[in-house]
Amino acid sequence: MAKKLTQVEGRLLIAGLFFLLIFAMLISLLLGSVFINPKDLWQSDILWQIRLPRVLLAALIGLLLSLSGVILQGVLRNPLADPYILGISAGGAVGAAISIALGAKFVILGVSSVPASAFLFSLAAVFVVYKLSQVAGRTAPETLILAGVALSAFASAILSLIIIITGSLQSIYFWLLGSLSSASWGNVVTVIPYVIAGSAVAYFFSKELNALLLGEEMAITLGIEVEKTRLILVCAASLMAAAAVSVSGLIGFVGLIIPHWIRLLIGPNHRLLVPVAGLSGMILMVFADTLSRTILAPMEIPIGIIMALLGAPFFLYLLRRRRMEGK
Amino acid sequence: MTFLICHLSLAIPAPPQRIVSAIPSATEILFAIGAESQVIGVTLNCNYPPEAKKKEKVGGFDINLEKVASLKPDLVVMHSGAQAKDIEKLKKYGLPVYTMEPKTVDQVVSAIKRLGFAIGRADSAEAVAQSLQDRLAMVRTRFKPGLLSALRFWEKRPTRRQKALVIIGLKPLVVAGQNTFIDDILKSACVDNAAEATMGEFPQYSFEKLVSDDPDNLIITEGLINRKELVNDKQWQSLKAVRGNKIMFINPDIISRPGPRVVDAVEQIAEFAY
Repeated sequence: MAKKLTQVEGRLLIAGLFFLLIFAMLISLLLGSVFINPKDLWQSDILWQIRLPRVLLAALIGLLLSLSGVILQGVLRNPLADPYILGISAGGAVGAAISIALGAKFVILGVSSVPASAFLFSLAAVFVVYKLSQVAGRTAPETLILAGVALSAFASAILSLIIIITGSLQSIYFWLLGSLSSASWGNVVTVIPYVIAGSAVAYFFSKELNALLLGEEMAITLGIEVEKTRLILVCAASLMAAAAVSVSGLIGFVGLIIPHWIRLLIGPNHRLLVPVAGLSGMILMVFADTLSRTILAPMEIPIGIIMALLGAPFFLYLLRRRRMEGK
Repeated sequence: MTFLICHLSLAIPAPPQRIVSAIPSATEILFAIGAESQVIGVTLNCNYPPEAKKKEKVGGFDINLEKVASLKPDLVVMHSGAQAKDIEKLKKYGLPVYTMEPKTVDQVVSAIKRLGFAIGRADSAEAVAQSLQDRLAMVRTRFKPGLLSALRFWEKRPTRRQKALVIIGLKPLVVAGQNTFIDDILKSACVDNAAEATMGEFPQYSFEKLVSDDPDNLIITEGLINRKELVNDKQWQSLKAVRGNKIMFINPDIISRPGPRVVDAVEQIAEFAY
């Protein structure tokens, strides 16, 4: 089982991860499908216009997805919850597919159509799921999850229908695999508000998340307005995930594995879990994106594939180890 | 050159008069060689020539076999690779199937001749094929750079081969790789494909590699993005093709369908690049 860390140990861990993140980002900036002599790197367009925004975006998406996962696993009290469980991915995919199928004919409020429509459809999906699972003003976590699963099935049918009718399989498929290849300064600026607001909610609600983990009755006893807190947290997690999905497509695993793994390692105290999982998500994402850019260069491997290839076996290993220790 | 383009599954005694075309490229060929009156069924994707849309529809990417059978065709033109399963089923029904799968521009020309022969329009097919070949030869003589072209400057022939990247997907960037049909169209237009050899025919491509290669021309399939959006994008401005407005938008159908219009694509690309 996880050791209980003292406050000092926790702070050291956070500082250590922070430096590791900086280190990973620097390494990632040096690598790419084109070799640039580090001496000339400073003047290179490739560094400023392509690599730097991409590395930053990778880190920010990692933060968004892992924090969204932390929150949802806490609120839904389900270790299998991930940022996509409430229908974000399915909604986003339908939104993106509609806009890909219609072509680049429209632009919403100056944002190009695919991310904008992915964002709107993700949020619409979560809204529907939340409304559907509300019974007499209350939302049970299990109902939320089931409604999310059902809506996802419905949305994936619509997605397949769009693909069959329009024949834009290839572009939609690549979108579904997730990629940071279209990273730009514009994307970085787009996600920053969600990063700030989302991290703030995750951090300042860590006491409430801890209480919810003990069960609803316990949380009420501790003086928490369960329904309202849940709504705020679900909103924050959904906005973070939708922002991530809209710029990078569907990147799986980071939002599932990182929160889960960090909880296994350092225990379920959200005070510590939130910053540690956030930083770890950033590091993992920067690492995975570096691999995606370099392994088969100049071809890029969609980051979703790398993430699942790395994440799944590691996850299984952790699970087994924990079970063996538990005996 | 290895051809696995066509084989007739059944001997056809008289020219077929009730042809179902299950491939948009075959529909274009049939109409081009004047066989319009012999065609009774096409697919939902057969959008060219416009008259093809008036024909009975037998399905989209997946054809509806019952619908095909109900039209009582005396020839069904199919794609040997992508429609292998349906070909087997149609043969079991006892329907005559004609298959083709041209993979290069030259193979398109011979596919036209063969299909024309199979449907009793050998002469007009021969004429169409000849004119396509002439147009291809014209492109080659006009645009093929070489030593001689520098000497014969009055002909204003290009001295250097142009490089182009064909973009078929943005966000993420997906390009036409080496040894694809599109690659062969470029070759026929005397243009080099800027995409490096990679695994897979249509790889997701590295943007920084694109910037460092900095090809002379960008060829983008229509509908992905509009010119203004592209030209105003900071990242794309690092490409000389974008700064010099050497961007061409091309109808995706004419570079992906192995039909007579590939020659239009070859001419358009060559004209644009040189």
